[in-house]
Amino acid sequence: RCLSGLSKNACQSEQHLGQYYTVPPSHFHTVFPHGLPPRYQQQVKSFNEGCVMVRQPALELISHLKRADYSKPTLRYLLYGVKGSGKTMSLCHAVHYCSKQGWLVLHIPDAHLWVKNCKELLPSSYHASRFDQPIQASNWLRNFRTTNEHFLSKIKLRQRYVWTKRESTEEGRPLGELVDMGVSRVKSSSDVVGAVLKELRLQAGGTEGGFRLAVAVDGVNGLWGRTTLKKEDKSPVAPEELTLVHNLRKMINNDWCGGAVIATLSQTGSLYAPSSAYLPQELLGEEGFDSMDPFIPVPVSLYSEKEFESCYLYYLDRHWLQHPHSQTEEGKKELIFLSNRNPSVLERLCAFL
Amino acid sequence: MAAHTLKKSIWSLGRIHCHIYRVNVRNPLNRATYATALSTNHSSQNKGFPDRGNRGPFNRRSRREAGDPRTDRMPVDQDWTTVYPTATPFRQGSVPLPVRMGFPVKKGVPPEKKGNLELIKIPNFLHLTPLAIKKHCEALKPFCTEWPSALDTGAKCDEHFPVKVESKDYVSAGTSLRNPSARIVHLRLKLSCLNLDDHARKKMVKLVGERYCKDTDILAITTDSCPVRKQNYDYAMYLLTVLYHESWKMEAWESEKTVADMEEYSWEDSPSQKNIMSTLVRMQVAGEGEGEAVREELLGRPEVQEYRDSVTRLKNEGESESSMHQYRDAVKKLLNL
Repeated sequence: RCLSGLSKNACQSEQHLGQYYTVPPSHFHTVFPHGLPPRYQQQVKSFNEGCVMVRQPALELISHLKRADYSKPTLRYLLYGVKGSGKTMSLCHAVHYCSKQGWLVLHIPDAHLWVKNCKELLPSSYHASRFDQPIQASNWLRNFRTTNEHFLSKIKLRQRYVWTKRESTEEGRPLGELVDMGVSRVKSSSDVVGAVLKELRLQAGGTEGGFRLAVAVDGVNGLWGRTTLKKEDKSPVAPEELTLVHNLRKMINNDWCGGAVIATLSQTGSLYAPSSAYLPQELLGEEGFDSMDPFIPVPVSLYSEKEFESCYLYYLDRHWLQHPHSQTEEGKKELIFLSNRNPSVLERLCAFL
Repeated sequence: MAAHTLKKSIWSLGRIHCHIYRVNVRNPLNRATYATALSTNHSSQNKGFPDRGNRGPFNRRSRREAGDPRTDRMPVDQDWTTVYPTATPFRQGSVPLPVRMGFPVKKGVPPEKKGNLELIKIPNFLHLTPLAIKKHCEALKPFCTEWPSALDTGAKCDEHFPVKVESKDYVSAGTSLRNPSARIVHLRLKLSCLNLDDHARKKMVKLVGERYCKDTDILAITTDSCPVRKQNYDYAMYLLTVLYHESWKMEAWESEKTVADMEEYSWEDSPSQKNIMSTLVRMQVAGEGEGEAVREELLGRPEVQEYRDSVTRLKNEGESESSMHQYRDAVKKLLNL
């Protein structure tokens, strides 16, 4: 069940469907400082280890990533499925694979966080009509720094960036300096994010010192919907008017090469979307669909029989199911009936037992 | 029932003396002097007196006791048309069904039909059983003419008589014969039998709005604004003529039709086409070359055609698992995965 020897994702294949593989604890802080779903993080803390189930959508993604040609324009993959079917976990699985392979990972944990609940909206210094979000930007930069430490010194800037009259970052400086500056100077952090994204876009897939860039966005439908933020005169802010969103949209376009964009749709954090919506066009809207087109939709379904068995045995193995009835056949049938094999519902149910 | 008749006779006797009668009754001693046959009667009368429920000491209600409901005496093979010959409110004593209706109280069931106002309020169709309708039809037959034998299928009717006009006549017995609902005229026709080209058809559909049903391709115009049926019929025909001629005309401002006005999605000149073209060109799928020739060649490829079909299907028909799968396969083939 828990094959800890499989920390090399490269050898994961169809035979390992339904089995769990362990992520070494050292990776948790570097690869996933902000990416995992909160309930899963709690589970990791309780079990003292992180085990991820190998499932069909993630394997499909990984196989595409292996075989894709990186001199062509970027391919975009979209994970969609009903609530709680495991889209974020599949995304994290793919991200882990990418970081193992030595790619630079740009993981945005939830794009919805950037379009709602923002306390401070500063008018942007770079572009008159846009708005900055310093807190979110600096948080993200900090996490980005933790994930990609080793890249920061290797990548050199190709352009000179002027922040204020006295500060500027010269050409040829390492990216790490830019990121540090963004973290410390909170006011211009959104512009720093924009600059970082631009640099990475230009340099990914380049022939000298080229690296592969994986852009992983969770809740990508937040980039094209409406926001709950308001300007000072109480008129609503459109997503394009936010610097972070604007720059991220440029990343998702496929006009650069040398990497992949993996995105998930999420209804859970989305604004003004009905709770039964899970198909791409409903959540992305016309505009979003046209921007993402052409993309490869990857459906994430509920647990199959085998996967459910595996999950159930894993919980038993970890002594998570304490109730004596849950260990019987009848108890298992009850669990199947109550959760309808939905991964998150099953996890919540078992938490009580 | 003997006590009953006895009581009646006493009442008829003692109208003038009723006052004295009552005084006597109140006297327990006197009560004992009456015959035993009456005493039971009196106890029932006494109940009436103290609470004055029936208004006043002289209330003369000759109340018969309610008999058994009619439902008890209904044979199974009865003629229902005699029970409910016309539209009448629900009578719980005449309907032999244990119907329940209403909001249930806590931990209860919906209230029963006896004394149920909800059942009386709603319209019921107890007078419209198939047998009743058959009887109606039989009664109306002498007033009808034969249906032409050549028009035996719906298709033939549509072919020879594409425009169907419907109006209702009302008969009722009352102070006046007239019924204002008789002026309403319904006009129905299929748009396919009109000579319309593409632009005219779209314009016609936009002009009539809700009166057109896309599934059955029927345009239904209902007129009731004039007081007389003939006027309404003329107005409906006028509307039809005007719609037909107007939809053929092309106004100057119609050339400003935007993508948002379009009824269905067309892939040409859409952002989707632009995206895929630029992607393919960058992928240099068609080899070296630029401009129109490359585009034409790309458009002619079967994978691109498949992709176009899947996107059009997604946008026009809405989403479903199968259309998503089709899109997925088309994209994979196109991008050579």
